[in-house]
Amino acid sequence: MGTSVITAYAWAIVICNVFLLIAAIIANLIPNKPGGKDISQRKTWYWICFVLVVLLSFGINWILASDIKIPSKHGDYITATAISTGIAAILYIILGIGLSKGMKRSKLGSWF
Amino acid sequence: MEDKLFIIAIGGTGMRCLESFVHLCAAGMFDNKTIDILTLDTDQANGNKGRVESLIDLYNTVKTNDSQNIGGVPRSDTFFSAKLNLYKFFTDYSTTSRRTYNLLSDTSSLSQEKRDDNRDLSDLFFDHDSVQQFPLDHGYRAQTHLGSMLMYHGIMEAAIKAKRGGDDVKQHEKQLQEFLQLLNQNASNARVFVFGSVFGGTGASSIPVIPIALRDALKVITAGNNELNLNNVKFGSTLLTDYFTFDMPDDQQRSKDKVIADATNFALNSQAAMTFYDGDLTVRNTYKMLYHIGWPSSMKINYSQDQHGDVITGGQDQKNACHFVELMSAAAAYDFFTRQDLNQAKAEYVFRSVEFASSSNHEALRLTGASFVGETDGPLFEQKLGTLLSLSHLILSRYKGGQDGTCGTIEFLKDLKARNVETYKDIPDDQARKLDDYLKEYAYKFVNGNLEAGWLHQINQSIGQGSFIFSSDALSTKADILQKVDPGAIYSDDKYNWETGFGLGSKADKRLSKFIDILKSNDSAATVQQGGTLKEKFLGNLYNAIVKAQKTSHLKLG
Repeated sequence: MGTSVITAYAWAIVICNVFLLIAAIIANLIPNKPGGKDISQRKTWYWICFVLVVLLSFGINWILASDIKIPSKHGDYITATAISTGIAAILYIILGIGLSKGMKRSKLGSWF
Repeated sequence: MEDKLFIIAIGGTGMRCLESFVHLCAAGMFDNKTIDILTLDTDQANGNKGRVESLIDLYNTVKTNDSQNIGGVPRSDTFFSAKLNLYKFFTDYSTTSRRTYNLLSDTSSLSQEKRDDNRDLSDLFFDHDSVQQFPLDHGYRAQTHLGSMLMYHGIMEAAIKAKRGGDDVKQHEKQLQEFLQLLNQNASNARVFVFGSVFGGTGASSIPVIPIALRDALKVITAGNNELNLNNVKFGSTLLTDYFTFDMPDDQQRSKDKVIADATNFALNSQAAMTFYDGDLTVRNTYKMLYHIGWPSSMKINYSQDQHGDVITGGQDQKNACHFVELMSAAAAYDFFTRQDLNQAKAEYVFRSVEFASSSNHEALRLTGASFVGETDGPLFEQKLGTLLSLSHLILSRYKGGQDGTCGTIEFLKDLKARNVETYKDIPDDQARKLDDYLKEYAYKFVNGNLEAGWLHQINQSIGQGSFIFSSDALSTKADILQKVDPGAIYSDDKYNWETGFGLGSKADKRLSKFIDILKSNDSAATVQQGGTLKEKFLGNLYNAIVKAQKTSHLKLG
């Protein structure tokens, strides 16, 4: 049981970090433009990645949970899926704020 | 001890040469220098004079907004680095009793016999019905024999009045006195450069007599206790021959105005002036350097083009476009002020040739920085001018400052704030607008959607089909091209253009993006040498970021 739940959390954290990295790459690919249009584009992409973190974190774990045949373990995994998705979402935002505020004058500064 | 620098700009052409000089100062060609400038004209309302005086006021407002210290202090490696002090003087012919030579030389208090003698003497040198009768407030109209005498008289008269003191001393007379006193205080190490033409009226009349007039005026002001030692004060000037023309006046105007400068005589005037400057001992002994500057006669610009009515003899309507030779004159001043050795006893005459390609249907100058200031400083000249042009395009084009009703600098500052650069958020809007105003004077602006060329664009247009350091798009005469010009790709030689950054979008987008990243980084923050006020720090930051964005740079950064 323990292993299964850890898998759910592991997936969530990996997805969170991968999409944070993708959001950072996209932010740096978007050139600075007069008028701040680029700032709103970076913000948009950051939140698109956030939605993807939630969807993929929950979705992948949901699919994995469907393979678990033992009802009690299945139930535990579903619970872990929900919690890990929440953790991934909160972690994504916390890391995003940290990076954005820590590198205020970089392109990541556009996120917050 | 470093030499103290002075500029004297005389007449319409002198004012336009000064305009070029001021723009070189704005580009940062005169780091750490304080330059005292005297504008000198017979024509108080002359459009070119008014334009350059407003430009210097604007320069000083951009440099600092401290009313107690106009123009701030000299800085280095930044825009607007030189400190400019302006003194204005004009020989006053505005009142009815001073309008013409005939009225000015009135000797009604003398006996009839003496009056007759004086009249005979005047008639001997100056034609009674024309030269003695034309209004003097639009300049000396190519009558240099009259002009030299009157300019000397005007300066001496002002010195006498200023010395006498009292309520009737006018502002322009006080300013001449201040300028002379400053010259006197720095007589042991002063360099004075005189801008003016040798083919027209006021400048041509004044250049030969200015050193002597200043010397004698100072003697008056100091009650004979001090005389300007012309061996110590180093004078330099341009020998600027004819480079423009205008339409012949019709008989009606000729009859009304008595005397009008005739552009068809300019070449002859120039030739006569050259002979004079070559042989005249006073000139040879009072000037250290004389710079020959000329222009192909086949490429002369007609200043009457697109104008209707009478030939403009002066006044506020005389606002001629700027020309390459005026920039060359400003470059001559640069040479004079930076030259190491100026101890020769007699004037040295110098010139510089530029590449000129000529074929049956095509004449073109090939101009680089070296054409203006020599091989050593040529790259520096190109980069300084280009750095300010990049800033102009950034503010006027990318941030729409060139458009009616939009202030590019305000938009740029807002943009920086949105990018978490809050350092400059306290720069007031009116000061931001002044920077826009200056850049419009330097480069261009749009009025009702139509392009109005600023100084650098006018210089480029005067060259015709030739090449002039920058790409054709950077100095385009088409509004639609300028509205989307890339501030990072203004040079013909790509090595000075900005590096292209990483990311999506066009090259222009990526160049601008990288520039903004550089601007935001601590590496491009202004140094102490670049300034202490918020605005100076902003200008220093912009200067550093543009220089760092360039692929190759000859400019040093603090």
